[in-house]
Amino acid sequence: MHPLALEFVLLYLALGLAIGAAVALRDTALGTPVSATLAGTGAAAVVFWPLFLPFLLARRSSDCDRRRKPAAPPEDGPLVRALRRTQRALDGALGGIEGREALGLASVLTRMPDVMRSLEAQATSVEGMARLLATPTAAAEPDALEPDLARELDTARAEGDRRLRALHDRRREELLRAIIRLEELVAMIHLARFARERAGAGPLVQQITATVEALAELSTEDNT
Amino acid sequence: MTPLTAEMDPTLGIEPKPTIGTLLNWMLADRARFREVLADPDDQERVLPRLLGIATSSLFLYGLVMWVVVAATGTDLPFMTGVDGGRPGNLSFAFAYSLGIVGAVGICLPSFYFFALQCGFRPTLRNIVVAVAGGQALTSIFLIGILPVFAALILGVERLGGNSEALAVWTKLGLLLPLVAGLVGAAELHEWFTGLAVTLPDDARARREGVVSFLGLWSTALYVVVAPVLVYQLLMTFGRVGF
Repeated sequence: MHPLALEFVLLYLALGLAIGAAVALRDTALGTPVSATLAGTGAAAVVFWPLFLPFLLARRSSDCDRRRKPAAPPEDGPLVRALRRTQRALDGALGGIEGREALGLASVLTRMPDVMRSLEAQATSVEGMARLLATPTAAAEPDALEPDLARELDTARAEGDRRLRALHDRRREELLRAIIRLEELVAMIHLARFARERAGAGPLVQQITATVEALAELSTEDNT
Repeated sequence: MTPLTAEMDPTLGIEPKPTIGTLLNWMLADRARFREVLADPDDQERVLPRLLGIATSSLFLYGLVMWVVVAATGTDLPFMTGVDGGRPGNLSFAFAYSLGIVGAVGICLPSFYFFALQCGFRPTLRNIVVAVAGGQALTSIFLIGILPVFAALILGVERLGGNSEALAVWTKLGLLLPLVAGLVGAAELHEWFTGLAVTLPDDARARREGVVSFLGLWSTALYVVVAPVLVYQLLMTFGRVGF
């Protein structure tokens, strides 16, 4: 045999041994019992290692799933829960109406899904702010900064906290107002539903329209 | 103790992992199921050693049979032994065919990947390896299937009074049997390659229809050329080493 060919064969087999061992070790680690199958796979990997290499280098799907799994979202707070409870009540009230067109509310109530989405986003944001405000700030190491600089830093932090708290309080208040209006809306829809046959729904429809308009404004004014 | 797989309720839709026996059964009787297993990413890693086992053992068996035929007919193969009248070793054919035909995949693998990319597919090397190994397993099974026919042919030539030259010619033709059987595997490989076009959007598929067909044929032709060259080289090497 030509010396170069011999060297090539030796190199090929050396690589094959390494890959065969890697395949066998990985299969053992995955719970494959030491058996003739494992030995056969290892031997095949030694001889035909170019065919096993793509499998050895590929990331396992279970690993991918584990790595891609997102961090658990923070638990919903009381505002989001209250909003969802009101939404369920609203859906129930609307479900009792036999055709929204009959009440002349179609053009108004079609805005509700957008309003609810916007309010829920606001509720999530307010709860995020509350969580941030509740997080204790890391204590600065003593003597890490000059006293003047440290004092200015504390002042800036306190000012930031104050502004964030003010924003949180304002938005929380607006959101609570919106939830109250929603509860009123549910009650009005129930009333309109039963008043309809007595031709007394006209003023209620106007009130509902006004409420939805107000809710739409409440849900959008924070975004501006 | 009864194996767990035997207790599984088939109505649950849980199937036991494919063994060599079930793979053989699917290759012969249920080609669609066989392709399904090859395409399943969860099964590919488990199936590959079994497919290679089927292919190499069948080709090894074919090599042993060919050595018996060559020895029995007294066929002279100077390209293997390097001298007239020499006899190749009893494992030369077995090793040359089993290593050469399967090993050719390793050489062609980058080209298969490149061609698939040129077609606009998004293949993985794993998919390619398993598809080719599946084609080889089919080839080897078909080869074992036609081997008795070849043996009967040789016996017929011998019984009908054929001289040693006629026997040698038929024996040498027998060495090309993997090429004949390889048509089955090549057809399977071509079908798999063109089948990847299904994953393309309709407009892209229409645009690339000609390219897919051409590169599918080219990929198949590449393997059909590389594998015999490698086998020939290994036959020479092993024949002279004296395996």
